[in-house]
Amino acid sequence: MLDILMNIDWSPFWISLKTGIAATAIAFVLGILFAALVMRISGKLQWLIDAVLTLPLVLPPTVAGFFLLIIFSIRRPFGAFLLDTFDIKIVQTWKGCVIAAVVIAFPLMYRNTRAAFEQVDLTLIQAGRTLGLGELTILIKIILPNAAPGIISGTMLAFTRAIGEYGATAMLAGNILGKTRTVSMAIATETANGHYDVAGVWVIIIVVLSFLIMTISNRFFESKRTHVGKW
Amino acid sequence: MLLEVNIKKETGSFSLNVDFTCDEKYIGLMGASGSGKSMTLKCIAGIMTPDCGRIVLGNQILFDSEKKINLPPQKRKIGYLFQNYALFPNLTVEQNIGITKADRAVIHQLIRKMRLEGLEKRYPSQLSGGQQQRVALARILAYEPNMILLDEPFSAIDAYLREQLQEEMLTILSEYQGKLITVSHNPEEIETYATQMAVLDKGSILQYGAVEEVFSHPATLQTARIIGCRKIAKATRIDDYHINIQEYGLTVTTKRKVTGDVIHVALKAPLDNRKIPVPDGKEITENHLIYIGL
Repeated sequence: MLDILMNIDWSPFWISLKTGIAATAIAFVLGILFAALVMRISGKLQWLIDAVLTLPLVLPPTVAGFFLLIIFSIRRPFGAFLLDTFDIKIVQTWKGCVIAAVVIAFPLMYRNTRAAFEQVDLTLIQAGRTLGLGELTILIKIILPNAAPGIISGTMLAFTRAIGEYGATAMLAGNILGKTRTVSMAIATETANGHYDVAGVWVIIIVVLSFLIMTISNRFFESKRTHVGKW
Repeated sequence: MLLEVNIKKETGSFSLNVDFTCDEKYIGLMGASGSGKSMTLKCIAGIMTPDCGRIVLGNQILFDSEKKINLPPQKRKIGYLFQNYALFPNLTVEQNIGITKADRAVIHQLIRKMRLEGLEKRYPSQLSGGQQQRVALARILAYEPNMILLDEPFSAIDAYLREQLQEEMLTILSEYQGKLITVSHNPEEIETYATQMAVLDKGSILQYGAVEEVFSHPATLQTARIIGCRKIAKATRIDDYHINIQEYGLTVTTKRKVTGDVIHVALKAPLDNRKIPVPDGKEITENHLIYIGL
């Protein structure tokens, strides 16, 4: 057993962790911005934007990955433009890991944040407006603090989803050891090669990590919410 | 400062159509729930937008659909006391009051005036209803608005505290220089906080006038019910200045000329509260009566 641990290449763990943190940070900002935007519109347009933003949650990740590949492939206009103008390559790189994880984790952040925004008493926002506070001040000083539990739970879910991302990452970033091979990717590769013991180590790590995150976030909520009776 | 409100708004099956101009400082809007009084207030504050019309305060046009003017609430300088007070739960008393102002001296003066000393660091959830109301009012006064709107100010206060708080708030507001609009379904609150009033029903104004006039001479039975008249009795015309109220076995002299054949009367509040449904006729004089449709 010790032998396995000694000889394991730990790079997938660090790649997953880095991807998870970077993708969560991006999804956090975008999720809040889009949730705030969608709260400001109504009717069919709101429905449409909401559906598009939620799509990656219901689509198979490989489908999302396929779209991303089409967008960012250097043989296609946008990918070529990024490469020529900014010298940025997405496909088969760590940036690709992050983008795939952002797209997949974003809906969780967005939906949780939006649900939390909907719970914020509208009169608080109206009170802020009649007191002459600007919209950004209202968002930062009033809406975000009062929606914090939902936003934090969205962030936690987005993070767990981002570190475990497989399908879209495989399509966009590939499976290059030391570069784009994440833990999920390592599990698939090791299993395919018959290395069940190494894959097992990775599985344990992921299970423990996910469990830890859920425990922390549940703890946080129990201390925040008022007592809720059993059903 | 003249307030001119002439607005229309359709929402589903409800249609609001309110039109009044008022120069008085204390205005009351009275109506049952769903009559459109809160909606009118929200349109004035700018947190709801009418479909069309005009709202002008003094020389400032707040809303004009023809001129395509619609000032955001932030620019209207109108304070709104919400029914639930809408205190920011994440901020302390001090921070709530100081959200529009950095000047700590002013904030502390308001805290003293509102008798909130010692509660500066508390959060809204740790305050009683009356204290919450004072914080909300202090927060508005710190903003120095041109007009304050009170939306059912005492509906969330226990009945036994209401009277005391009404007087307290009146004392505080008596120093306030701007205009005050009070929305309520409670006749007492309107009598305390308004000199001019509009009675609303189903989105339209049924009657508009001085509070004393509306309360002593409601124009229709519908208005009479909204301003709180109970035990309404029928009266028949005898001649131009006399009516007979059969139910009370009483003939009274009226100050105004009786035009219709049938009018209605109701008893003013103190008599109305009596347990006996038909009081002894001898006790009642014309001064005890509310004349409906006269």
